[in-house]
Amino acid sequence: MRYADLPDHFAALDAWRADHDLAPGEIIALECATTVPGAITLLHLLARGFSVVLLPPAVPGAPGAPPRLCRRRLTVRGHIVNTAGHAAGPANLAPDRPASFLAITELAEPGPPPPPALATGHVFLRTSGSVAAPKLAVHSHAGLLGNAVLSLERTRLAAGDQIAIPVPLSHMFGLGAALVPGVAVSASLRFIEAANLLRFREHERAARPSVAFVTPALLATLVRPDHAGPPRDHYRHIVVAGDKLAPALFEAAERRFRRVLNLYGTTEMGVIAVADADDAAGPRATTVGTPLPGVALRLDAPEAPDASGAPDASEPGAGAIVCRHPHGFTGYLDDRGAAWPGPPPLVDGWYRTRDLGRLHGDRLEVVGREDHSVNRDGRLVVLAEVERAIEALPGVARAVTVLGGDGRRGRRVLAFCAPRDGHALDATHLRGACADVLPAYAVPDHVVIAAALPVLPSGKVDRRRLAADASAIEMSAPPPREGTV
Amino acid sequence: MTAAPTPLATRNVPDIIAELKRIIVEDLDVRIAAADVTPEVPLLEGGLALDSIVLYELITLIEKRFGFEIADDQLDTALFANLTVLAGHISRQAP
Repeated sequence: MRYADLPDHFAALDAWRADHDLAPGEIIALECATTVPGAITLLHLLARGFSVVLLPPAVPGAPGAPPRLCRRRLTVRGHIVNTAGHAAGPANLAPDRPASFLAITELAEPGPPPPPALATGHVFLRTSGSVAAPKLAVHSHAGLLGNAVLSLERTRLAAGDQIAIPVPLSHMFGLGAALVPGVAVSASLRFIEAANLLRFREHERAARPSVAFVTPALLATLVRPDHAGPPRDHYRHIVVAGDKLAPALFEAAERRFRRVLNLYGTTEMGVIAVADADDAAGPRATTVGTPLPGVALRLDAPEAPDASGAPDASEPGAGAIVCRHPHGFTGYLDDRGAAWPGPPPLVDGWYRTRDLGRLHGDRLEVVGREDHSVNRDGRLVVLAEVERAIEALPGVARAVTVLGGDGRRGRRVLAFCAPRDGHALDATHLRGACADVLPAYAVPDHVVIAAALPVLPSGKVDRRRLAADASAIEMSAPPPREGTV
Repeated sequence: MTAAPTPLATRNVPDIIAELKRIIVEDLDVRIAAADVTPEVPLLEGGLALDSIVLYELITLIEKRFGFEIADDQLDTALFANLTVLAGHISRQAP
């Protein structure tokens, strides 16, 4: 469809909403496929002033119930994936007929009415947690737009671009770095639903994109270092958000896609920094460039990652990234729409991202997470939650997780497990049991059975010692099927 | 990766399907029961729901096991519709 057709699509959506008594003032939960109808619906709701809670298409095993802040959920059906994460049946989805792609459902147990000030003009993004209750980051429409326009300083999207969007529109990366900036400059946008390496390549051959927004996990499957094939000369650059790329992956990606721009952002602050396309490959390989204009960064002393009091030895010299952003979020709500009960996330406008970084001159290198968690497959995995889940399995007395080397889904996770008295544990069996209680991206790559876990004189588990053991285990026996949980 | 045996040189589609099934059930790190891997079950959504990383592993294992490379421009969803289609392609490519 063309931008010129947008008013007609919006009018059709107005009519559909009138039939369903859906008007601004009701905060709607939008479960949005990465498709043209998904994008049109989202843009329509924003243009009409709705407050929207954005939800990804449901993934089996991941938390996904809509927040109780909403009375109803609007689902944009996909061509490939329906809301249960299964294949959609044969469907005749037409972007100009909202009834063909929209479904609205009443939600059980809605919470109290939302605060009037938030009932219109806001977007709520769920922060990813692996198992814990999610919270909602609150953005105003103006903030979201300001954030998106600011990111154009580096992504340099333009009207002539063909932009490939294989990432969810419900996350800040897809929404705030790709969709909204792309629309702001009237670029051609193409959405890749249920993206995998096969669908991405099909899209690439058909659309010859000039820019693509990809996650490190997808990128790792698009680039085959042993036979990368010829460079695709239709690309100007790709934008990658997430963990730092391994040097070999960065180099292979630069050959194939011309340039790789690493982007750093969070659900709360939107896009914070993006590498400059004019920078040399060296700084672009290791850093996310300088902060965007008007964004301020500082590095604070990192917290000790666990109760042992020992700072994380794996990232010497790194500090906790604290950020002030002219278009960042305004605060958190809990899932019911009530004020977040935790400590205020913004202190004098500064937000602690819980990421660890180093500065190279003005350029930021993001090295990992502060709070004993890790980004795997684009999702935050809090290792303490993984430990609790394993400890709830039969026969497990104690589980302690440590991070290993880089796998395709992110840093590998090793779980050291001590059996309860009188129980015998089998590593393979226990790892299978983990897959029953944890989403796939949170299942440890290695389960190691240890009769006793090493302890410090204080009686606390010696995580440094386990981290050393983990390195030795990975050196002597790399996972037989790397990272594919 | 499991230790690569000598490439399996066969053009017999049922044999190739059986080997692909073994790779999926035994070599890929996914929890898929052998009974669910039929010659016609979709490998993507609506069937085994292999994700991008698992697909990458599968492609790598196929290339090792059958001793040929799947060209970049042949990688598409039609080729990976199900094991029957995939085995047909392998039988035409195998050395």
